[in-house]
Amino acid sequence: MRAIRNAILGFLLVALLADLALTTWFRVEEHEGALVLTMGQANRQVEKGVHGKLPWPLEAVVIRPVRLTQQLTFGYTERNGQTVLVPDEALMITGDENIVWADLLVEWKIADIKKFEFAAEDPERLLRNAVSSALRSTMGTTSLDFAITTGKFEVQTEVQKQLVTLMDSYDVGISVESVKLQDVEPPDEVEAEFKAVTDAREARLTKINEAGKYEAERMPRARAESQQLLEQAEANKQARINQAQGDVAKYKALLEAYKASPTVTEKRLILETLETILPGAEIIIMDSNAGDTVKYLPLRKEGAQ
Amino acid sequence: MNNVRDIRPNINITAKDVRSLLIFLLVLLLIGVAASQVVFVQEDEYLVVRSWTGVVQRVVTDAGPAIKLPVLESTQTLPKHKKIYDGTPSDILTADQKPIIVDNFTVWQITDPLLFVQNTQSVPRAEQRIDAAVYSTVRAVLGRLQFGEIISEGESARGNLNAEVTRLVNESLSAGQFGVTVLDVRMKRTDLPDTNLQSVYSRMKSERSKIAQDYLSQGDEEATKIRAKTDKEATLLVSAADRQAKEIEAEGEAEAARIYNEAYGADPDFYELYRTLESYKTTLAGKPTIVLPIESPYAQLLMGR
Repeated sequence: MRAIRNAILGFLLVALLADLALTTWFRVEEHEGALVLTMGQANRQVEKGVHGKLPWPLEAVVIRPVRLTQQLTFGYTERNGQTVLVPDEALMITGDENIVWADLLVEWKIADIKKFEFAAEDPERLLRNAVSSALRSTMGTTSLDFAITTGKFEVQTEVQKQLVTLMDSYDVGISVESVKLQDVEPPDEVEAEFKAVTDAREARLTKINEAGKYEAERMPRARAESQQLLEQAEANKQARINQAQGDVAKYKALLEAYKASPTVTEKRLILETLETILPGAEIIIMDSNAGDTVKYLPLRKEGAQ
Repeated sequence: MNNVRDIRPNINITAKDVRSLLIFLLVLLLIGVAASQVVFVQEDEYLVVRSWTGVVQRVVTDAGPAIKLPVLESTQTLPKHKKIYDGTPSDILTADQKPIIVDNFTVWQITDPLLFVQNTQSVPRAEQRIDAAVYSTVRAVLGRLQFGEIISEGESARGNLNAEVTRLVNESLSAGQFGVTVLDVRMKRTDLPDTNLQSVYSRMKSERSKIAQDYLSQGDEEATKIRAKTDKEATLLVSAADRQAKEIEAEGEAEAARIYNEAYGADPDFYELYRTLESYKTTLAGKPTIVLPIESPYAQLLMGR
């Protein structure tokens, strides 16, 4: 009987020693923080290192990665390095009653380990719901065109503002570090039409540029043509004047001679003219007194000069 | 029978030994029972202590050790943390007759554990009550709003939509004294029924096609404008140059005329002679036939008289 009692006592002693050995200390890693619960009540918080505590069941410890920035993806998930889209989350109605695809990444931290552990049943699920609400609500006041073009940053800032306000009001020990909008784009169903708009915008510029090219060709050509006309006219003008001056120069010289001795010069000029004309001419001399047409027929001067 | 050995251990059990072992076991049992009367209330729990008749004796709301009587009292824990309830999405017809599916989430907490155990008893039953209250409140509130007001959320005259719904849900729950408080009812998603979704996509497509066509037409318009302007300017440029060219040539003519007049005007008689002779050279070039009257001096000359 003593042996049974000793065996029980021995077992209890071993259990007690094991308890003391295993549950009176704990280790906290670099990125973690710990909360010690004394008989269920939150007692103290400790940082990285090895710490002592009362043995189980008097004290228990909760260790959480408080320094780690954690990520929550909304609208997509990453599984084995593959991105899997979640349309049920990402498709939403915009303020101008269109549908937009928006997904985002939220970075968050455990700000208060006690609140994170005890203030809410499932703080991460609460965060996900809050993200959904903040994004949906922001998109609900934004037009589709603004959201998918220039408004991305503004939308992101507004989502972050709403999310931070919301999570602060829930007070569950989560601090939202950043909200990063990933894709904001029209849904797949209408993607082709949106692309067509982009193409059309390019086509418009192409047409304008082509017209610009036409202008770039046409105007210099017109200027060149104008210049050519002016130069030609200037040349014609000078040529005409030169011609006149040339014509006049000979005349003036003859006039001088004529003035000096009019009769001789007149005769000379007439004769010179006849010399020029007559070699090729057929001359008919007509006797008007006789009434005959031909008295002396063709006088040829072949081989003259 | 000689080779059969008695394998029973040779132990002499006395009545005294048995008694001391029983006492030892009793002591252990008492320690165990005493220890089990200490309950560690966790940070996120309420402890409800009931008497053996089932009547609630007291509620422990603070974390830490609590003591109950053995046998006579029993305990039950209730969650003290914030819980999230994802309601069933409600189909709503808005004031402007558009269908919309609204999905809410509710953050709630047991705030009066005594009322809770009396009137609600369990979390699933609390969720049923909350679901009913949220569903009817959301339908009533949102059904009075325009589609756009719901999408943009909180731009209504009554202030923030979520706050209004939360207030009304609490109001309707307070009558039942369920011991719960709804902290927030929030729209998580607003969706269109599938048939409406398709018509929205069709509208979006047609809008984009229109925009694309606008761009293309604008491109044609602007290109045509540029070409027309170019043609106009080129024509103006060339015609102006043409005019100027003609003016320049006219100047040349004028100058030439001035030169001729100046020269020829000096002696009109000589000019007549000169011009006549010059014109003979041109008009009588080639092989003309010349008829001379016999009395003419030249004819006399030719005939040797």
